[in-house]
Amino acid sequence: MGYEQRIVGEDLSLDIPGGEFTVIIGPNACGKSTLLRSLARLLKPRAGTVLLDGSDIHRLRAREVAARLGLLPQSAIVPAGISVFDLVRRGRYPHQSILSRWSQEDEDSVRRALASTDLTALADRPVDELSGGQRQRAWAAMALAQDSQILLLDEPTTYLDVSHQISLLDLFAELHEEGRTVVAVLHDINHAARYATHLVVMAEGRVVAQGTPRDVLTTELLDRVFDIEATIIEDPVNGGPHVITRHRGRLAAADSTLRKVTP
Amino acid sequence: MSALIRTEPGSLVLRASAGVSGRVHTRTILGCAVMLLLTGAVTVLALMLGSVRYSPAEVLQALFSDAPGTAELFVVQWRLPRAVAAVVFGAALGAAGAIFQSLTRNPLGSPDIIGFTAGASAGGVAVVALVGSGYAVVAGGALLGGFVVAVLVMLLSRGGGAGGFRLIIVGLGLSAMLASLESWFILTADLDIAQVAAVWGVGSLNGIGFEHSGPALVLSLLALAGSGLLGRRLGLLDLGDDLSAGLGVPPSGTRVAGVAAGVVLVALVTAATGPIAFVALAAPHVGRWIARSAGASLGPAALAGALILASADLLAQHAVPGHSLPVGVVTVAVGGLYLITLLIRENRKGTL
Repeated sequence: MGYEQRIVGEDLSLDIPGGEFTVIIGPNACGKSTLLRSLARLLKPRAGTVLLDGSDIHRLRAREVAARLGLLPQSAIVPAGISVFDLVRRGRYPHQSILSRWSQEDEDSVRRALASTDLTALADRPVDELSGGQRQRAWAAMALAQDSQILLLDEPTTYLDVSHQISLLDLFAELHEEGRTVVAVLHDINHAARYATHLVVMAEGRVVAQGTPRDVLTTELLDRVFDIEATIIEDPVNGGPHVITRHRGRLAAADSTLRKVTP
Repeated sequence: MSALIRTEPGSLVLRASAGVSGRVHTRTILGCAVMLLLTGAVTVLALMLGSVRYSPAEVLQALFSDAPGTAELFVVQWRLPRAVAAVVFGAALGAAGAIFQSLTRNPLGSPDIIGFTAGASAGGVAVVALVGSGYAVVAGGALLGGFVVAVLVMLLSRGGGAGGFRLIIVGLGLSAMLASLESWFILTADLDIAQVAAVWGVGSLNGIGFEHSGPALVLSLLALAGSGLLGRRLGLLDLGDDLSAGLGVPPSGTRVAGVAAGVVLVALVTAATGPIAFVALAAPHVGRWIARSAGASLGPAALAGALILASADLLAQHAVPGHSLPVGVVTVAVGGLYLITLLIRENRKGTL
């Protein structure tokens, strides 16, 4: 079963391969979020179409799309006083009806989403009392409860400290291993390189490169797209590419043990 | 059809055949039940008290079985229409307030603040002063005034984004202008007309009878049932436009339906009673607080609105012995205090 989407807008053509962890990177205002919003049916391209499994996404019913494609946008608002459980529960909307508001399936999905985001113990806490990392996990849990095959994540790690960034990305990697199609917009190139199985680089509204991180990330591309001088070394942990920028900084002592990385 | 109700810590789960299911917080059920009981108690009290007093037993007898002619006259003919109107119109105002607050994402975004009430008031007063005080023409003037100002507010606050801050500022400005226009009508009209206009302009349930309020009551109940269907959509809109769209509910559709439902609810009440201020503003907060619910919460807001207006009208009738005040005087006095505390509290939280 293939999950293929094709977007053609602003001279832009892109296949999001099914079952892959696709990461979209690019400088600020290059159209990453716009691309993601188009993929999520939030924006209608002026020309061209977005295809979800071969059918025009704007010809499908909004709810049908929502059952197949979950979105974690940047602009989410926490209603005052809402509990984690009630927030996550709202992710079930596409699967519910006027009469069926809390089926066994709904309950199982919400419990599973809470468990996989480590929020079961916090389920009854108000979301506005959580830390930034916990709150972002609550939003992720809501997207998980939606039980969609495809997950679109718009800068899910922004404003989080590094440990929360990593635990969230690990969660998304797990979801990908379980067979979901994950598409994330990220800012950190090395996170993109570590987690992506398919990397898309955008600049000025166009896709300039796509493929495996190993094929896509080159010093030439980094210079052209991000205007940075960098060296690419082998990531000692997973053998993929790792970007070291050559910006000015302090020199460390030559015999520092910090340089020796064990895989 | 078999039904299964299961309790979990803090909530009740319903599973029935034919795919019917739901989950509600126990606290929400209790809160709603308390508001319902209190409203019932206030209503019985309203039927008991007056120039001739009746015991609860006599009231129930007059309502549900044969009673002496005088009791029937006082309780059923005179007091019941007013008590029922207070409950139904209060619920309508409460639900409308919750809808507008959810749409504007602002705890102050009630029809009072966004100019609809002021527009209806000015429209009604203008009609009383210039045309006449017949029920139909005044109701028409109020509706027209409310709609015109609501549309004007929407047009002037276009481009202000979904946050609704601009909506509130524009509404406040227009309300102030309309209040001065209303004063001008009252000051320049003949004395007796001015008095009728001024009384109408505060909003009153005095002398309300089923022959006038009946259609408004039925339509309000229908509109309440209709807006009940909007509840879950508003709950998604509370999470932000993108999330709502991502969950399969386009926010623009919810907004149009919400504005329509809210305007219809307020318009029905205003046409029947004149502009009753602050109920729509306070009811959603009181409802959320008692039911411990989050977000739009139309049900608790409607129940709180019914309780507030019924209590305010009881107070209006009996606070000053021998004088039946317009209920709008009470809601403005109590609501003004409430608005000040709300402003202080929200300002501290920085959610304005």
